[in-house]
Amino acid sequence: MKEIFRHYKMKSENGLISLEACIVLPIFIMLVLFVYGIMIMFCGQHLMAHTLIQSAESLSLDPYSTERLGEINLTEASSLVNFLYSKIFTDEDKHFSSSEKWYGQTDDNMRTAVKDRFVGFLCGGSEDQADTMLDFFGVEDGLDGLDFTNTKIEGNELTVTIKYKQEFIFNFDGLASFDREQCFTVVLWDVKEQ
Amino acid sequence: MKNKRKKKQYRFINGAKGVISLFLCIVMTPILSVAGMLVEFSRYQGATSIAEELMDASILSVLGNYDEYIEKRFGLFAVSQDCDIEKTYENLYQNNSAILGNAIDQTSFSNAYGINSLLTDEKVLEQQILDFSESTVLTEVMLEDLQLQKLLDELTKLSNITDIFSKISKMKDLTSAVKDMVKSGEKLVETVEDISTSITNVKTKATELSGSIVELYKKLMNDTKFVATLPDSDSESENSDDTEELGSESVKYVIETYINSVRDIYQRAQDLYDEVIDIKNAVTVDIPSKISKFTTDVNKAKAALNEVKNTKKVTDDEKSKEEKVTNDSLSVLDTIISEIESVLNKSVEKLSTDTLNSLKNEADLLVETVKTNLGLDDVDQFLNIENYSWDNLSAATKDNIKKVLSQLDYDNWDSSDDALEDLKKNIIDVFLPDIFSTDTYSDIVYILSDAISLAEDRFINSVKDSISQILTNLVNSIKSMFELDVFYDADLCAYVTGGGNTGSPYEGFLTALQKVMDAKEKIENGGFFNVIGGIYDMLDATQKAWTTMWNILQDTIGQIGTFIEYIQNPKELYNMFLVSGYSVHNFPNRTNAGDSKWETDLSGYRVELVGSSLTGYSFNEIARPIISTTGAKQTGISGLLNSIKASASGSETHLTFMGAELEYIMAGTSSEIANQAIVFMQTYVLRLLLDIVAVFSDTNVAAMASATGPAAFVVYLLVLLGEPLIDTIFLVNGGEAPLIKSNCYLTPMGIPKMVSQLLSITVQNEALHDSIEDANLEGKLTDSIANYVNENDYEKFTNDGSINMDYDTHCLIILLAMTKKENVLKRISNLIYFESRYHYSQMNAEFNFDRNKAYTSIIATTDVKFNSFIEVFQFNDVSFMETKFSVTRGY
Repeated sequence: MKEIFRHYKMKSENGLISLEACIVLPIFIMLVLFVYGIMIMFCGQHLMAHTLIQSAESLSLDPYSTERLGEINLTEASSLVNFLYSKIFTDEDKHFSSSEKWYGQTDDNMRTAVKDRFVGFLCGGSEDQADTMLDFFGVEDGLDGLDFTNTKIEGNELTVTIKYKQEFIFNFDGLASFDREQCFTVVLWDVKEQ
Repeated sequence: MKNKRKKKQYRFINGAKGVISLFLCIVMTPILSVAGMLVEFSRYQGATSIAEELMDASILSVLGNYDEYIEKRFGLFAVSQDCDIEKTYENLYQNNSAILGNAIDQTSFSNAYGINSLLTDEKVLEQQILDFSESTVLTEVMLEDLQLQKLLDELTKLSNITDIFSKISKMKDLTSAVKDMVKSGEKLVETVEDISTSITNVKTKATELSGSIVELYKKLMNDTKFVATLPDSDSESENSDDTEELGSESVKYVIETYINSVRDIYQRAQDLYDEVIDIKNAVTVDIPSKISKFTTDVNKAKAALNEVKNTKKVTDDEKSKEEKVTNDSLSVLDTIISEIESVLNKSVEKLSTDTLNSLKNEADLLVETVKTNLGLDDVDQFLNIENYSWDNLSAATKDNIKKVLSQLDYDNWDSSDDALEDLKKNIIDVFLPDIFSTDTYSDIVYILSDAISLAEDRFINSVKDSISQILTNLVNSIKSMFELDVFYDADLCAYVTGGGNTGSPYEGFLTALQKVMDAKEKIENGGFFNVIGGIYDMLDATQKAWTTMWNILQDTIGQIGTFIEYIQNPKELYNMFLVSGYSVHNFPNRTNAGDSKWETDLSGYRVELVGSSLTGYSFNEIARPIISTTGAKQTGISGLLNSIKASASGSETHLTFMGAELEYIMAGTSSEIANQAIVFMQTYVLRLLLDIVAVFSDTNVAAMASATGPAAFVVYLLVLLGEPLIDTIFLVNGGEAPLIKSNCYLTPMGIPKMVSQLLSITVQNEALHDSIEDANLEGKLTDSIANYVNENDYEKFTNDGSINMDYDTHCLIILLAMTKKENVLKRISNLIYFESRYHYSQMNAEFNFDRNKAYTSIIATTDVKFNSFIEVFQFNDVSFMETKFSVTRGY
């Protein structure tokens, strides 16, 4: 019995390294993942901010092109040619341009236009890709999780606001989910100040 | 003991315990540090990127406050001058800065200001014009409108026209040679006429001399005192065969009593002598030299004629037409050279060396006879003596007087008229026996008169009618057109400061035209020398007009050559095309002036402007000042010249833009009236260039030219001057003209069509319409000339070209070919400034539009500080933590 115990005692330090690694490595890995998560969050925020600014800039120029090129004056040859040119040679994509007066219509139309433009500048207009990308950056519910309801036009200024929840890479059942709100204001070209 | 010591040495090393933790601490610490730094760096990059985007977007929003008038009117962009750039930018920047989160703090007030004023930076203006023109697909529209390829094809054809100009240059030389030849002929005729006149004078003076001698004779024979001094007649009868010399007593009595009569005789003798000397000089010197000069000039004219005939043909296609034109024009000159050569040959034949020697001998004899019989060696001395007393006279004079008086027969005095008349003849026979006994002078006069009559027959009878009818009617027609109020529209007048003009290059050209008109008056007066003098004057004026026209055309061809060279640099051509097209389609010109004008509340008036710019902005809405006068309108050439001169001297200023803005871009003077006049002339010269082929190939013009003989060139000149004038009148009144014409209006066939069209396009312009009707152009040209042309069927007149161009298109070509892009841009800048200034001053009298503040770019700078996410990386003294961003963005 004593031999057995002595043998056990001799063998008692075997696996200590493994044991230590089992305890320490997860901590280090979590540390690394934490840094990674931080980085993803920052990148996500940066991506959203960048997309927001570019979308807002693009939207700010819509009224000008709509007012000047969208309306055809049949008595003016140049206007007619411009119209034909815009219809024939330019492939209008709602994610990058619009010939509709979204800025003078209902808020829903405006928000739809804003959201379309956002998707356009986020990943070229593909909503599936947008979902994937947003999911990657921790945006809850992907594209559906983006809330543009606070977007508004005051005078000749368009304020695009997006609200969303961004989860940390380890959400811990909602404990690491953050509310985000970013907004950007631009002057709408060719819209009179009220 | 040894084990104890060993145990003590490794007391901190307990096998492999903690080695993993240790290892991970050692390895992961730097890894995590680097990862943290990378995270910060990524944040920094992202934050700076977003910060720049924020600034960029804020600037774009400021740029959104663009000047609405400049954008709507001109399609160009500049920041509105009522926008406070710095404040607007700062507000936008601050409102949006939340998007940066906590990553960046602004450490100083943002600074934003405008740069690159649209109206002072030509490069910016040009680029915006190019962008605008491209965005409106202006190029395609213009290419379609102009049918550029056809235009270039026609211009390439026109480049061959330099060959025609070479011929015109040689024809100019030929014209000059013909002019010299005619002048030499005229001089020869003048000299011969002088001889003829001198011969008549010699006869007259010889008659007067004999009459004076007979008068003295009568006085002496009635004077008893003189008779008493005569020697005894009985004693003389013994020696009746010899003429007894008069005694000194008698001569002394005559001198002291009848000195005036004696002096009168010597004065007449002196005159006779001088006249004979003139004839001698003319015969020996003048006639040979004039004939020599005449011969030389005729040969020069023939050489110049051959030079033109040997000129290279334009192209094979044009060969037959060119030959016909050349033959038509040269046949007329052939005629005049032949005529003059014929006169020369006859003159040389009649005034042969023998004839001239005979004349010279006769003149020598005459001189000798007069000298001998009247003793004129010291006649000067006699005539100059104041006290004609016997004692004052020299012995020689006394002998001469005695000799003259002794030749009278004092013994057989017969006081009857017949006897005295016989005596006169006898005296003439005594003094001038050989000269007056022959018909030499009479023959010469007859011969020269015959030559002159022949020339008169040729010139007057054959060409005067056609010249007077064709040229008179042509000149009247052109003059009537030049008197029309078409050079400018005084209702459209403007004032632009800082312009300037060095004078009109067309002044000499118009002066020459006026001389042609003056010469026409001379021809109408009739008579050989008036007709030939008038033709000479016309040829002279033609030569001057050719010279001026040649210079202008060479300039134009040179400029169009530059334009063709543009083709080798398509980008530059494209840019100039866009700038020119922008000017033509965005600025009103005189054809945009409507029919009505109305009084305003400010005791002025405004003229309606029709049309709109490429942006759709109605020209009639352009801000224009109310003007209280219509400007000093002057009609005709004088009005045109006065306006251009006044503009050049800076004395003419007209109130600002009423519509002829395109003309300002093209001419650039401070007077809008002068601008219109100058552009009228530019259009005229362009049409002159384009009409040359039509004028020289129209068979009716050639027929009219042939009919006028030596004045053929004048006909060509007049048609060449008139035809582009008609085209230009059409153009400035909203009509069109073909690029290359097939028929000329200035023929009996074309003028009814022209009048009909002119009346139709000016129906809204009552004053011009009436003046065209009053000018009666049709009546002036058709009736009398119709007989001289091949075809006068008005219905057969065709003048439809493959490319019909309006005033705008001509202006576009002139801008492309004759105007520098830099000047065009400067003038566009001026127009934008003036229009904007008036626009805003009408909206707000206190607002002062500043051309230096029409910014097209904004530069913004911001000092920021980067906040580190991990406190340990917060190094405030590290340079990248505090950064200055600078962003520039323009339209």
